[in-house]
Amino acid sequence: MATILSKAEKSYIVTSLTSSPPLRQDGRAPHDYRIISVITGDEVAPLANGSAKIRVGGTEVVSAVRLEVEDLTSTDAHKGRIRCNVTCSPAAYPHLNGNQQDDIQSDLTSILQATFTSNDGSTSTTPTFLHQMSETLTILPGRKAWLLNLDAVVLSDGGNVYDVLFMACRAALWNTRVPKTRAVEYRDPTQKGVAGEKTINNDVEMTDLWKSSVQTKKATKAADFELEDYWDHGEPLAGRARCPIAITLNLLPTVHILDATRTEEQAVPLKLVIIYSFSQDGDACFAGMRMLGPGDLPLEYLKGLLGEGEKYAKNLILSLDSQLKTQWS
Amino acid sequence: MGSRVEILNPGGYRSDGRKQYELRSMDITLGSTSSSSSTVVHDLQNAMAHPHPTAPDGRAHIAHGLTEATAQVFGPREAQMRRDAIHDRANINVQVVMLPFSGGASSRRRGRGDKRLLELAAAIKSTFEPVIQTGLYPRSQIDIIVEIHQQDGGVLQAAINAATLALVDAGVALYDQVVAVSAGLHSTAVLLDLTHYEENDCPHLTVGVMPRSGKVTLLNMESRLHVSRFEHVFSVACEAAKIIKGEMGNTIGQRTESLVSAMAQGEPTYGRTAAADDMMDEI
Repeated sequence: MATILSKAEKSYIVTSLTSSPPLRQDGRAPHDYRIISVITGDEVAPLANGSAKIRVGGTEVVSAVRLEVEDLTSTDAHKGRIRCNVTCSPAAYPHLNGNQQDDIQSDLTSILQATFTSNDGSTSTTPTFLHQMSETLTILPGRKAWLLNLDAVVLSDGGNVYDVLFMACRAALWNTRVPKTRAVEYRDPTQKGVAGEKTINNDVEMTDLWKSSVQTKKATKAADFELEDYWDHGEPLAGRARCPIAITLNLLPTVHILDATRTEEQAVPLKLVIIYSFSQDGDACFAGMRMLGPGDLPLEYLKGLLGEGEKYAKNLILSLDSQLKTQWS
Repeated sequence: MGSRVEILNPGGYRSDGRKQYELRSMDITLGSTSSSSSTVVHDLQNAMAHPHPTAPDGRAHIAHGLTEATAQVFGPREAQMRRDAIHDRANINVQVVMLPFSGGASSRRRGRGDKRLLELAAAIKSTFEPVIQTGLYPRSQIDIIVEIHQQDGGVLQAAINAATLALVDAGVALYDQVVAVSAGLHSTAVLLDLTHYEENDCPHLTVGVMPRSGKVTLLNMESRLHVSRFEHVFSVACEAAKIIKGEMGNTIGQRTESLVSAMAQGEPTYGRTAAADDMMDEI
């Protein structure tokens, strides 16, 4: 990444962070976040099934969920999939050329995809949020499921893009409503004396047939489905509360700072991104980790950081959820 | 809704209730306040406390009905690659991004090299080349980045209007403000500012006008239109551009006034209000 800071500026930032008490340019304590603003729902992306925009200082990420129906082949798992994609606006990295911007984009996509896509041979005893989530996405077991497209767009990067990205994805998934569906089975009229091809427009005429030709969701032979209701009255994703959240710790030898601005990131390039997922009763699960930037870290120190990170993540998720709950029940 | 919506019904109304020559409602935000409309938190206090080093020099958001675009201008600045520098004038570089959930015909993803985006970018670049006083900025580069947030017809029009406003906001010297508007023809009736639905059904064109001099810097038509009808459609579009120019001029005036009064008082006059609504507790 091209440098945008001089040596003197870097040293100024590092010295003030390591002094006691530590000082940051904007007057925050080392473990303070900038103000986080959250907007969810149709104001962000009216065409999506769920969307959110998060702004933290100069960093702005929009995330949207779109659902599309996918035919499952017999080899697939009997569940819906999640496909993640991150796009960076060129305006977020104006000092980089196109290829470097693409690199950042694929870095962010890969961490998101790795976190949100489990391998199905998971042996863990408690079902992960992905399992719960993909159960909501099932339409006809083994035949059709919703493919969840999670698209995030980094509109501007003022530092700490990983945390904001995961917050935006969590908020968008929280906001998502999956349309309710009803399984439908077509029967051959010659076999059972019931008229076959049912058309949805013929409600009055077909009332009796409706009952007889519509199977419950448990019917394994159901061949197709119809929407039960309007789009905005769907169900929320199961397990959305367990959707992971990232905490980025920018590390100096003895201290770490949270929510670094773009200039602080330049001065403190070693960062540890830890991704946590929390169960309903608040137990932390470890969902991923990346160490980025040059330098190394003593193992003992790392163990301490994981615990610290959990604390920060819990706080962050509490305040994010309280905001999400007020915006949409 | 019937099987087919009329483009222009016998009462003279269009499918969205507009009259023939009526433009969609416009919403313009100038400057580095948050992107989309009024519902967004204007987190100015915060943004100003942490100016990040890569913030754009000029920024504008425009909405024509449901079509929304944001343009950001970086520069004039040193050319990133030396081979891009032109010895006697500035190089203009335009990039267009469509958000994956912006809708329209492109539910599929459009990457950086997508032909449609490159074509849009080329149209915008050729529109602004004669308008920006590039001779004032030799050996430098002006980047115009346009993000299409939502599309419902008139994407090029929104992109150009947003770019004009962003250039004004960045303080780049222009000969005149370019204003773009789309117009179409339904049998013999001229329609202005087409929606996506109307664009699919009518021959249409996009005109970029410099209203002060009356010069035209862009004329883009991708469908067939009889030559005898063309002049009428074109002249109506040029008239409409003056109306849009008026709206844009008002917004620029307000923005300038607020900047001037801020300088006079030594303190910004805007913001510091809505932030509390959507703010989370600081951790």
